[in-house]
Amino acid sequence: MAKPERLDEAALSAFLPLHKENFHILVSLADQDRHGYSIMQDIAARSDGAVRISASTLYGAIRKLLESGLIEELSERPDPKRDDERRRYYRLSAMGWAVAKAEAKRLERLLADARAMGLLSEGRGRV
Amino acid sequence: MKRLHRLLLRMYPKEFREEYGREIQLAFEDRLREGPVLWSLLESVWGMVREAPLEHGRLLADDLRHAWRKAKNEALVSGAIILTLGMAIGINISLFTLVDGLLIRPGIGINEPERVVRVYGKDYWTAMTRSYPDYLDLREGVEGLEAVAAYQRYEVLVQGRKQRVNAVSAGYFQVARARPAKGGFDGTRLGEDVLVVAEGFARREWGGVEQAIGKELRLGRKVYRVIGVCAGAFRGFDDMPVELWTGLGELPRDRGNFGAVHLVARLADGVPMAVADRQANAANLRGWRADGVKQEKEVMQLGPYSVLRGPKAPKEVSLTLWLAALSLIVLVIGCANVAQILLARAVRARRERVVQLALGASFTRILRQSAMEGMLIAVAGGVFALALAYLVSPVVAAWLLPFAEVADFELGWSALAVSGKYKEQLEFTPWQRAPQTRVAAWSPGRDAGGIHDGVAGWCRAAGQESERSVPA
Repeated sequence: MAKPERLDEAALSAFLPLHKENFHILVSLADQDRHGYSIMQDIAARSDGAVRISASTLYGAIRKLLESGLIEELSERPDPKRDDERRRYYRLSAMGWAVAKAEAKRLERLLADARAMGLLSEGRGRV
Repeated sequence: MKRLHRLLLRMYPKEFREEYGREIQLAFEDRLREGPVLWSLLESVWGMVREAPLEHGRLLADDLRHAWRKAKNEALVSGAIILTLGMAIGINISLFTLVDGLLIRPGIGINEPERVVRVYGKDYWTAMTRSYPDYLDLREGVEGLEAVAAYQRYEVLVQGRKQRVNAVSAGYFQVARARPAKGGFDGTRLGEDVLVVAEGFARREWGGVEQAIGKELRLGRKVYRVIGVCAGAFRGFDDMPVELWTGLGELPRDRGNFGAVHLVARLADGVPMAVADRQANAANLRGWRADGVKQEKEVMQLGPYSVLRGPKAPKEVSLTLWLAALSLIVLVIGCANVAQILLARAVRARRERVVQLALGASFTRILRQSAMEGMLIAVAGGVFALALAYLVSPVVAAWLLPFAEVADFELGWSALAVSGKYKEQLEFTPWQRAPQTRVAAWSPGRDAGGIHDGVAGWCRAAGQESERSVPA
């Protein structure tokens, strides 16, 4: 995983808000480098199957993320023993890491606001 | 299933397929092992249907950007191509606009123009006009003609400007099935000099249709009162538009005066021109006999109402056709020039292409880029051509057809670009189609009359009555 660098706020905010599928991919690559199918599995597992990305959608998103420099393709195999040599592996770039973090913070703020307004309580709105 | 998926991958552009096709296929096969087969396939296909067009669009945008950069870098060559192409197409548009306006499109403001005919003479010297008794023969004795009208055309000074005027008989507006925008017929004023004006004229002169009724207008030495406004784009049956119509009145019954009036008629529904022609000639011969004159030979023939499309078309029409053919040759030469410049440019860009191929660009990608470059330049050339044609068309029309007004041959599409301010002037353009009028049926008046009867029937047929109307 690339080490995060300090990046310009303006450059980061140009990516925000991230598309839902792109954010899922970035989150998936945050803990380890993965190949496409592994990303699909991880997303499905993390969301208990609620979010399922098809292979065609995934690689469209991967192409865009590669072009915008948020992820990188690995030239070396992370685990050659368990590796399928036909696979291509991806990892977060420094910029991707920073963007994912900024998006997470944005969502966190949004969530805090929703909580403060009572949207996450059991009741149905203001009484 | 795997093969089907591999086949479906062809929805993507080749570049994307080469880059990610195998990965997508592998991921799909992995998913097949884990989940329901049909669901996995549907999921993947749905993803492809959504994503593949986007990928095509992205590549297209890339190619367009590349083409734009290249055109900018080679501004001189691109400019030469655009200029050559623009001029060749522009001249063609101008000439074909002329041909189109003269020969191809049916008349403006005339409802079902294919049913409107003109009565020509078979003799060269009496080809365009007929005698007044001929009009009466046709009006009263031809089943195949729904309406018949006679008119004379002349020019007078109106407010210091020469204006074309038609003096028309009863049935004139019924032949065109033109309807009144406003106005009506006052039977008590039968002896007055009255006038019907075109809607555009009324708006220009008096600011509206309502204001025109009752206004007085001096045509030459006489003052006329406006009793009706003709709605829509109808501007008469001649290729030179007219905006003012007066009454024809009763003319002397002189069979020998073949130059008295122009005759137009509307074919009855479903009656072919040839049948109406026979009936018209039979009625005419009966008329001759009734007047005690021996006449065995048929002297009239029905033809298209537009003289330029008729059997006696003037020589300017054939000149225009020749020029149109010539302009086609100019276009071919222009295209050959452009092809030559493009070829020279392609030869010069050979090294660049080789580098692109060496870097892994596919042959189809290079081909597509070249096509996009050509398309960009062609579009620019087309835009230049339209602008050129817009400027040149009236000049060409004035040069080739001095008898027509320059405004008559403005480009039809200009109506899209100009504001409402010029709308009325553009209504003059001969390629504007007739508005579908509401007149369902019309019975020609029995009296000789003139514009009075014509307008009266006209208003009755349209089911309208003016505020000024007093039933006769």
